Amino acid sequence: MKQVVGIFSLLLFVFVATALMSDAFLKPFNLENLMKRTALFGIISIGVAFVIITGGIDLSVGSIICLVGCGLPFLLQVEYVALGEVSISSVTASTGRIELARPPDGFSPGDRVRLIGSSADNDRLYRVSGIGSTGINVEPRPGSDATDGRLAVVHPVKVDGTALVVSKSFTDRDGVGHRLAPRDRVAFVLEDGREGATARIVSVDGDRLALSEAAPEQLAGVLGLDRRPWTSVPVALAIVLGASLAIGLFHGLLIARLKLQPFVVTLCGLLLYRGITRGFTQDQTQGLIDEYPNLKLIATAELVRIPLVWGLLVAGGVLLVGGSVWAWLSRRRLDGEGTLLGAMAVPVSTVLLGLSLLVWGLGAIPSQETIAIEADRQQSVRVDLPEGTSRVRVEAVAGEGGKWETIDETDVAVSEARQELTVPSLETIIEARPGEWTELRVVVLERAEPEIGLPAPLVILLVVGVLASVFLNHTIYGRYLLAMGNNEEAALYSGIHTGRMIVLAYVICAGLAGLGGVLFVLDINSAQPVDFGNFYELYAIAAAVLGGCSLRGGEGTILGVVIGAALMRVLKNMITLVDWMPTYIEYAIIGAVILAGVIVDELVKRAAARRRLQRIRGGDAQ
Amino acid sequence: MSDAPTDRGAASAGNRIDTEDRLLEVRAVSKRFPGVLALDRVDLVLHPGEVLAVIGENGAGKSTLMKILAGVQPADTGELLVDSQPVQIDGVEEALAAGIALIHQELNLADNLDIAANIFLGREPRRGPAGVLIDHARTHGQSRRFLDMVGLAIDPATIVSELTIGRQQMVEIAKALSVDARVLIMDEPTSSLSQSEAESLFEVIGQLRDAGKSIVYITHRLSEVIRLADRVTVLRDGANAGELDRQEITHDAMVQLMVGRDIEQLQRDADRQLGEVVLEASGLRSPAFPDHRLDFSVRAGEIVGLAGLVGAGRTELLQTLFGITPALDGQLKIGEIPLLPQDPRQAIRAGLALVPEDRKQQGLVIEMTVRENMSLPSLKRDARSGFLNRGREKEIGDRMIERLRVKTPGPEQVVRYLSGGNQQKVVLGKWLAMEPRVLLMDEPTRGIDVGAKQEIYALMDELAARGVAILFVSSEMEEVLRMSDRAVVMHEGRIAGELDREVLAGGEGEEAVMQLATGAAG
Repeated sequence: MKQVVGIFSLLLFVFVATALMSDAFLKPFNLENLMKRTALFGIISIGVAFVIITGGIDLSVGSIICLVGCGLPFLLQVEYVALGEVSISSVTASTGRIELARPPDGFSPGDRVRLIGSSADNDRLYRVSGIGSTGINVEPRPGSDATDGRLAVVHPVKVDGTALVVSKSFTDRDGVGHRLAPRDRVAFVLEDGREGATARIVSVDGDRLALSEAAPEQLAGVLGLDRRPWTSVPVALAIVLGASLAIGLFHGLLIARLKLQPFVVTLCGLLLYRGITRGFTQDQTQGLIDEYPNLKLIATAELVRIPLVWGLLVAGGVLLVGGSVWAWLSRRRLDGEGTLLGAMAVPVSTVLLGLSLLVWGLGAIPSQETIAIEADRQQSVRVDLPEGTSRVRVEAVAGEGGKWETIDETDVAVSEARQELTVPSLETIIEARPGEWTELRVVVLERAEPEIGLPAPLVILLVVGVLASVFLNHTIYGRYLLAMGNNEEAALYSGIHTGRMIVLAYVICAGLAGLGGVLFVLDINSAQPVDFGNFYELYAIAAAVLGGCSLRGGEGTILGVVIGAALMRVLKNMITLVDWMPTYIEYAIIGAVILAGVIVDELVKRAAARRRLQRIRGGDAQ
Repeated sequence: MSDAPTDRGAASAGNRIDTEDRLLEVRAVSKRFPGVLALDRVDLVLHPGEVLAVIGENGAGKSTLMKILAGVQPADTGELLVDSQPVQIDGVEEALAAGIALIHQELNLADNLDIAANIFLGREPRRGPAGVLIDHARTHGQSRRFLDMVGLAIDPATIVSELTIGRQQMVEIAKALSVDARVLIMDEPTSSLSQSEAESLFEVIGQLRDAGKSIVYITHRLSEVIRLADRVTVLRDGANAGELDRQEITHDAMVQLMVGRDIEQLQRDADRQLGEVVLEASGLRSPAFPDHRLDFSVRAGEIVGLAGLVGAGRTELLQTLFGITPALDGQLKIGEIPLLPQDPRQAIRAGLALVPEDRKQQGLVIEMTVRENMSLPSLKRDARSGFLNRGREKEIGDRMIERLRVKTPGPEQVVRYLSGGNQQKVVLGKWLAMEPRVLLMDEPTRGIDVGAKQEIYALMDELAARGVAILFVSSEMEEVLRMSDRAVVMHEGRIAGELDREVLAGGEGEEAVMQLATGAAG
């Protein structure tokens, strides 16, 4: 616990300072986002911490995140193929004959067809005029001969509201009947022959297709698009996570067996994996668009949604009680070591934070609120409304002690930002509703209770953190890692397989980076090979160092690392939200805070070592 | 060790010291570190042209006093006088200006540079416009002169890392001479020297003394004091414990002043009960000396001393036995099992344990606690499906602290803060927890004080009595003679011979060992 005291105080300080400087900071939306980002960075930082504990370093984390973050959407890419598509052997312009690679089953005279990817005219519609055993004749005749491309039937449709009624059954490319299902797509084909936008099928009811987009004007028909993912989700996940673990193994073996320096190995990794990713993606942005909604839940779900008030009261209560117990214990454990102020600073600030959360929570308990207005004869007045207000009533009174009467009841748009209502001037009101009105007020009628959700990644972090902590502190392998980080030679002389432990650390690190990469891309939804995960290794290293890991090795706690990651995120959030802090000096502020944190940590450690030495020398002298 | 060669008289013959002439004087110097009074009104006098030995147990304040003299640390109170004039020494430069140079225990040479560059480091003769270039001709020429003074006939352009430790020490002395130091403080100068290197050092010290230099000589090795010192100042617990003049210097007198009590000389149990052979090497070839095949054996309950000069291959042999540098070929039987350990894990599983020479680097995880260090090798044995067995771990810590009488505030003390002797006990403790059949010890008492030494000896006796086979390397003749049932003497990678208890215990023991070790016999 002692090791994380300093960093925890710093986190509390920055948190409270940011809350004081920015209204937006404590908005549920922002807090949720903050928790989510902390979780994602916390996971990769824990991995890096394992490597740092062995006295090594891993600079390749950001590039592994890039590889996984771009690799996953790349593997899960969906290709849409027009149903009933047939490959073309030849197009003869002079006769209007199109020879097909297979017998023209599924085509009937009168069908309208479209050429896809042919060097003959693509963007127009043809009508089937005759069917042979190996091909079809079309009208009008294509503009040129060709030997490439495909041919697809355009399905005639009737528009019925947002739904389509399809009058010809779809068949897939093998000619077998195929029914479109929800999440398949259709492509609109216009009368002039051009292919329009695509739309997702929301539901299928017999021949009726409900679509996500409204059909365009001039609709000639649709192409049924068959959804063909490259791989299934489990296979894609296995590939990217397997690749991460393999990278870790590769790094570990190079470092443990060939005795290469971790810095060099992982620096090369940093270049290598980003380069490889940019290669296979051809530097194109990889995205999941609106596919795989269930998979994305891993990163985007909110497991529990509770009213913000309850969140605040519970968190405040826990901090208050925990801090008090902590303070009580610290008081008892003083034992002449350290100063009262030093021992009590964190517990006391925890209590204070708990108290302020409680006060804030109590203040946020919804009640029917009445807002008095400085009414003005000529000017309209802007009134700040409580967050989540959805309906208000404007009331007016004539003279002192009169009866408040309703002027207007109105709905208010709920927004995440400031909520305001513009109340007209007295004169305007009198015009609309004659009376000797002297005072106005606004009564909040309906107010959505702000809620806060628990982001799924936070739960993943919790699981990873607990496992990592148990591993590090309660298994012999964790002890081996710590011992080896302190003194590899002594560990070897004690019969520890140091090479294996080094490999293990790099595998853990790369594996967690891979998990992080999956979560990052599922959260953000798209990844650019050129900068996805850029600098993340440095954020992770900074979090680990802030959390008490020494780059000399042998030191570190998982809790400290997670707090370090949280501090980094709060700092970044602060720079974004606080108006007078220009975002472009972000790196300078983060750098300065990390430096300050590390300096303070070093000073505290020295003071502790001095006290310790003093006790021992004192003891010896007696 | 009363029979050690005493050429002190010869070396200082004709060099009568004017005892009233005080080159350096320390008056009532005190130094307080947080929580401890390291020096308590210490006095010291140094005459021109004398060798003053400063001795004391670890923590007696020798090093602190020397650091104050050399300007590394300031004194809190007290006075320093050079040539009877009070001087203020606030830094190394000022100490050098006053003619005082400290030759550190760990040598302070830049070993990637050549000898001349080291001698003139920071004071290089310059040439060229504005003196931007180093005058290599002059540095080398002058270096040669100073090397001659310490009897080193080597090219000043030799890179320091290519020199033996002994020669590096000579370079360090030459460097001190080059700044015209009149007082040379040598802190444990022989701790990593071979016998012959130490001999040449003693010779140089004699010459320097004859040339009028004064030497403050700090050591644990009392035989060296007997041999070299004109006078001895003994410190105990940061204060003056006494002084011995040349004729008063005896082993017992020094020990008595150092420990403040008579150390009961342990009576060797002459008839140890020896059991079966538990370690037997035949034709063993270690990678360090691939040209020699080694044959030897150790029996249960036997203590075998592995003697020889530094560099004779003793440490390398232990490392090969322990699997750190696996044997090239040959046979090794540990108990009944033939095994050439390929790594320490195999050796440990077979019942071997190694107390390594470099305690802080190889023996201990210095930043971890006493408990964590003591349980490190046995964690795996006691683990339950990979999880730490905390109860067992704590029990090992507590038991070993009690059994070995480790002076520590508790099992949770970080080992760094223990004294050398107690650190060594922690190393022993971690192996005793493994209940080894064969205990390999490399310089088991190096750098630890007299009291702890006796405890380690007693423990070795106790272990042997319980049937543990002990093979130990020692460069201290006294230790080998006293502890060994048998001594295996190595010379340049081969076993030069074995000496049994009768020879070792007889008056000729030391001579016999030296003959074998120097390759003069066998």
